[in-house]
Amino acid sequence: MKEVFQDLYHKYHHDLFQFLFYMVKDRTLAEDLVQEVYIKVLRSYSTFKGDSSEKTWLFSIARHIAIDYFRSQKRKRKHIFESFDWTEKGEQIQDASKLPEEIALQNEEVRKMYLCLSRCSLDQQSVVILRFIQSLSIQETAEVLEWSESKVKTTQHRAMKALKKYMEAMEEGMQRDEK
Amino acid sequence: MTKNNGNDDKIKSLLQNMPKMKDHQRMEELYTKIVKHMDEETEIKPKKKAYVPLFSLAAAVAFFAISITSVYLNQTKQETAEMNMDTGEERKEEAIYDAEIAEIPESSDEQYSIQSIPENNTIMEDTAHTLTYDKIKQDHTFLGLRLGMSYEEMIGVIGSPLEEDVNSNIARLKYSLDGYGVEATFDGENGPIREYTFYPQYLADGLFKALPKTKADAVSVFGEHYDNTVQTCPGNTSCNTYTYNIDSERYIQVQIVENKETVFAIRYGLKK
Repeated sequence: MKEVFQDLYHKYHHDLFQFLFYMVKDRTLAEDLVQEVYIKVLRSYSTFKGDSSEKTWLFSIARHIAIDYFRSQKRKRKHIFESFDWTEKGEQIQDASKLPEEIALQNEEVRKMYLCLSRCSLDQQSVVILRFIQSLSIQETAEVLEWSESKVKTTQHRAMKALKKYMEAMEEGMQRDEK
Repeated sequence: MTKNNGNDDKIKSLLQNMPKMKDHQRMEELYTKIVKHMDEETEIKPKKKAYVPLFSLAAAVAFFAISITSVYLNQTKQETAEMNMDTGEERKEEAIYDAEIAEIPESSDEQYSIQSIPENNTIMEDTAHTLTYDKIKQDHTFLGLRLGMSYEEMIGVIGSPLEEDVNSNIARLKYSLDGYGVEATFDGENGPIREYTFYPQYLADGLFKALPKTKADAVSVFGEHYDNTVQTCPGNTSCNTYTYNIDSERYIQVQIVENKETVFAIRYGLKK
């Protein structure tokens, strides 16, 4: 089992961690979730059929784990009569002190993009992260998400549109603040 | 157009320039944690789900243990003094109960997937035989499901799926590994459920037995009155879509694969 782990770690750890981080936008949480990914992967490695590439298989497991996490959060929030809302979360994240160190050090445009990304729907975020941050092809992204390539393309298109809108809105907001 | 493309490129390059995130955990450290987790918990999710069957199994075992001991004790009661019996009875019950409990985790873990489904289905089957158009119309329920339920309430009715894919607008549930059998569409992000879609080819058991699988079944459940439109189903087959207007708010749609006369999907939802 250790050899399998080491092999996967060397090949994919950096990508997996980065993907999880951008999905959940929290370093500590990404560290916890990446462990869960390996647990699931090591448990089911023997049943991996090779229908998809090892890489897309791992990403797909990681995405499910991130979604499971969001769902558990959603349930918890419901218990305290708070609804889970992406825009609300986006607003919270705008508080610059909550930006992860690596992001806070970047130029303003990158910081804004990071905030805008968190306002997109989970599907849109998944596509954008896989396509542009992880540089996967349309076909690979489709495999990870278990979607058709055309669904990847339309979701990507909508995500770009949404990001553009959020970026513009944020710029306007900032100009207003300056005045 | 060119302006749009320019903007897209700008967004793409911004995304591509997002900082690379590195995990601060060392490989060895991470491996140790993983092994520890794997040893500690047999698995987080099944553990949760296995809780209900495990509990009912334990309850059943306890019930048998108590009834057997009480029968046995009733027989021996005549032979022994009553005072001694009372304390003896308790001890025996405890001993048998403990012994049985200790055996459960092993078996229930392995049989989890087989066991838990029939468990849920026994509850499901009460409503299963009663899928009729009139019942949907009067009781406002479809296989026990109401429009406006929350995700959790729905799971309470149809049982936990084998796999689920839930996001803010739609939940897709697998009750067969072959494909998603149930879809629930939420009203707005994370709102109550406004529409259920059932794919009978991926729903064979329990509650879902009542779902019509052929055109003839569908007609016998929902009746002959329908508006028919032809639509394209996945895989480029054409589907006849029958729409039933239950009342001013609700509708049922049945999609039937044209050349096979099998039901592709059944939708129960609120009109827009």
